[in-house]
Amino acid sequence: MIDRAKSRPADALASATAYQTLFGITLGGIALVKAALADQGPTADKRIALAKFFAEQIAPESGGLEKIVKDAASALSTIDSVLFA
Amino acid sequence: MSFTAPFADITFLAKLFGLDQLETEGLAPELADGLAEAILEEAGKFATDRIAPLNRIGDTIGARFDNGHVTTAPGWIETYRDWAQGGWNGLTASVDHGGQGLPHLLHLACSDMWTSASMAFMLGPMLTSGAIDALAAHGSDELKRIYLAKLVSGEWMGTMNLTEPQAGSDVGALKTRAERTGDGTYRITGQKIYITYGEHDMTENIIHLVLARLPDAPQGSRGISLFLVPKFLVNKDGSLGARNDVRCAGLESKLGIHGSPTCTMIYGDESGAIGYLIGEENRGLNAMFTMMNAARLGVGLQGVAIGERAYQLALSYAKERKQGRALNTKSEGSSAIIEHADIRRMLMLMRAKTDAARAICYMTAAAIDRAHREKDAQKKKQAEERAALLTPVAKSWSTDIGIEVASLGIQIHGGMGFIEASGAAQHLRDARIAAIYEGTNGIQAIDLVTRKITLSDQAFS
Repeated sequence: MIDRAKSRPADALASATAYQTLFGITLGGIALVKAALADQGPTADKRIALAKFFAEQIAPESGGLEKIVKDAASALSTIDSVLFA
Repeated sequence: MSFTAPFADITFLAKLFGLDQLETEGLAPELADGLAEAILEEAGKFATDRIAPLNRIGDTIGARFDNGHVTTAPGWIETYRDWAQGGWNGLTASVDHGGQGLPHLLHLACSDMWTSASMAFMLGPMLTSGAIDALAAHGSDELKRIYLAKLVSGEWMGTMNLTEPQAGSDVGALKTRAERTGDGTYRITGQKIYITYGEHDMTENIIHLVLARLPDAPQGSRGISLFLVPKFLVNKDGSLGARNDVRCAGLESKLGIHGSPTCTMIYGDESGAIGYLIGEENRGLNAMFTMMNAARLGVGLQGVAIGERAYQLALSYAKERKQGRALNTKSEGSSAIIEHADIRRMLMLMRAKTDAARAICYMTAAAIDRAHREKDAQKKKQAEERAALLTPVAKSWSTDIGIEVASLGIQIHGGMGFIEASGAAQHLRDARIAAIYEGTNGIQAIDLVTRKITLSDQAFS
């Protein structure tokens, strides 16, 4: 994405929102794992369950988002035929 | 519809994602002896006991407009007065200006609980804190002397006046005019819209920060200057003088945050509102970004805060409401809906996403603190870049989640969620604006991919 932002800015803009969501999911998932590993107190089990749930039920969306980011420019390139029909 | 501030959880995350490290590295020595825990516990009590009960009346009665005057909902004045007298408005402001000089992350964690209690109530203090930052960073000594202490104490509130009918996201298109008077002051003329807390009865004076254009200014965003325009002029001895030529022409009727007055402001109906330059002429955008960056993180936090409140409400409903019989249930009769798999799934999505967004907001605040406090130039730059990189993600991802979580909260309530009396609907209506204001989430994405990820690699470490 960094290369794309520099060399093909139009492509970067087409995929910007999906990339932003991908960024949030990735960082958010890491944060929950970090919290689960750090918690030695009575809420440790709760944090492990939350990190596990995030990893198994939310983080997998990142695979789809990665593909959406890659293909966004191509997908948006032909939409004038719809929007200005 | 009660809300209990989760101060123990918030304390754990605030320490883990920044406060502990700031303290051990000697960047926040004031946090020794459990100061953060004590402050967060007290802030949580105020949120639970005093602010949370205002949220519903703010929604149903809201702010009212009559002939230039704005009346806030019953109870709001008294609660704001007690909150400000508790010293809560000045947590992060410099000690030189009457503040406590505490970390932004600690303030953000307190705001998390106050904003869950009532997002509309906390918007005024959020904008005041942006005005304090801009004035402290760019204002003249004279302006700081007259205005800062009262903004820091919360005795006066501040506003941020950017938007005009033709200048929304494109702030460079604004037309409000500023003319030099020759005595160092300026006369401001124009119309501003969507001004949060532009007029109200909670403080005796309101300090407007207004973007305007000088007659000889360059076109676009390079020709914008920032002015301080008080509702009441201030005499040399600090007492209030004449009413300035600024008035509220009306309130918007909105989807949510009804307790927060969203004002149309008219400057210079008569001879022009008296304004004082903040920073240099034509460099207003610079000063404005000081306000905007902090406000963007503050708006991201609104997503977290609404998520928290929506989760608490949905969880409590799911434990009480009985419908159908869950598989493998041991109890007789119908089951609480929390026993059904899909309800459990929705509650977990709400909790996990809210916690993840909270962590990202706290990390961002920690980077801001580090950028302010690091002595080593390279570490300081690294922290600045990290804060810059994370701010659009904290703003956009958290507010997307606030909306999603509030919507799931309605879903868990079933038909009752669509009925206003449940309180679930208010959370979605309130959360919706956060993805729009302070730069729409689409604009955050542009900022992220065109300006932020291309910063040096240090931001990622």
